[in-house]
Amino acid sequence: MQEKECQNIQNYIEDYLEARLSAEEKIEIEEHLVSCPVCQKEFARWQELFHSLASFSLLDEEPSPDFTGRVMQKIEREEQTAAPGWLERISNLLALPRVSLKWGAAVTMVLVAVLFSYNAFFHPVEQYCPDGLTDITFSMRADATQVQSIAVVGDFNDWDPNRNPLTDVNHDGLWTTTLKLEPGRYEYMFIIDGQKWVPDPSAYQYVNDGFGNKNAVLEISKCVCN
Amino acid sequence: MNIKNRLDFNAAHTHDNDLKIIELCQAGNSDAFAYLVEKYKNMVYQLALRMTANYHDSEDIAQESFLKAYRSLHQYKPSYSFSSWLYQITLNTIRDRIRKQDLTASFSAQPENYQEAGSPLYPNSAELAEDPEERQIRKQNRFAMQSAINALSLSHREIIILRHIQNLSYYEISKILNITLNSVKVRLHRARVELKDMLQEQEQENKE
Repeated sequence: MQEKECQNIQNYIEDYLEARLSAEEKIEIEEHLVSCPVCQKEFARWQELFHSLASFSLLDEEPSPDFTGRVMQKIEREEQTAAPGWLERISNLLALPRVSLKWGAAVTMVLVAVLFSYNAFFHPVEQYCPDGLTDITFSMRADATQVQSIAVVGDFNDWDPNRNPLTDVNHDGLWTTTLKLEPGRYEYMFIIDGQKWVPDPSAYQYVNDGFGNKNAVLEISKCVCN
Repeated sequence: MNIKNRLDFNAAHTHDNDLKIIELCQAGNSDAFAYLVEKYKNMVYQLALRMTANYHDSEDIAQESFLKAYRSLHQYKPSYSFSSWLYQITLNTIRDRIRKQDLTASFSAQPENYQEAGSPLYPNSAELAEDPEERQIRKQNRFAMQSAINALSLSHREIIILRHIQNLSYYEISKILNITLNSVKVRLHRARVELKDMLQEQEQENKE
């Protein structure tokens, strides 16, 4: 009986120390503690832990005095050099040289033209399905020895990096994923290893995202149903 | 300076103010972001410092976290407070770093570095004025605590620091870690038990 009560009391020590108990519960614990040396000891250990943590948290370190200035400088630099910076980074990541990327052509290309002159060089790859959704395959070339994961994020998945990972099933360096999308205009990016944001090197067009980077744009004008 | 005048840095309106600043940034006024950096730099830096126990890495992690936040500002959802969102970004940056290089090792490999000025464990100026003996005890306790925290698993370390060092509420922690309130409670309990046992063991070793 006594043991059971002690266990019950000990379960509430943390809540007691965090002031998460009602007045009645507090009194119940205090009354028990007065008469129980075992629980007193346990209570003292917990109290010591909370005290040590509280005094540990009193450190008030600050980053270097010019911290904000340096962050803003980096942002500025990134904005100014955004386009070439990204290009370099992508080409470093690509296992193949980017010979087939015709940037000017890609930017000016409109989807309707692509629909009728479908070209295997251009991604994402679309297939038109009777259910009103279009199968879009996103793909990217990357060396699996240097890259652990690629995900596509965009307007179609709330920019959630966990929803649509690309996979390289046959280990040939071509990572892909296929999504079913409604007609519309979507901005999207690839995230490599959960942190490097790169625009799709083979996107139809790009837009400035307003922060110095370029988002890839995908336009599905209307569903072509058979 | 215009922006500053228009904003009232009253704690009660802090979320609204953050939203106003974010809107300014999104409208292309990148300078406005400096106010967010200024406001949250200590929070981000201290989280990194407690997680890694390394000054140099922490400064780096803090900078990287702000850059990431800036780049992905268009993904920020006002249903989160900006600070919770920034905590998430910072924790992700820390997790990446810890996964890539064993930051813990760099700390425990040099147990003496807490005695140097400039170490995160070096006493602050108020403590320097104290009685030297007391200061020594304090320093030892602090070192013991940081060592124990560093020995925790990553998820236990995170939750202990969010609750006890950053003094966040269970609700805020549940938002940041994206877990239920009950999971916060359970995880926090397990982390504290682990920490308590470790400190007790250390104490016994010291006595022997």
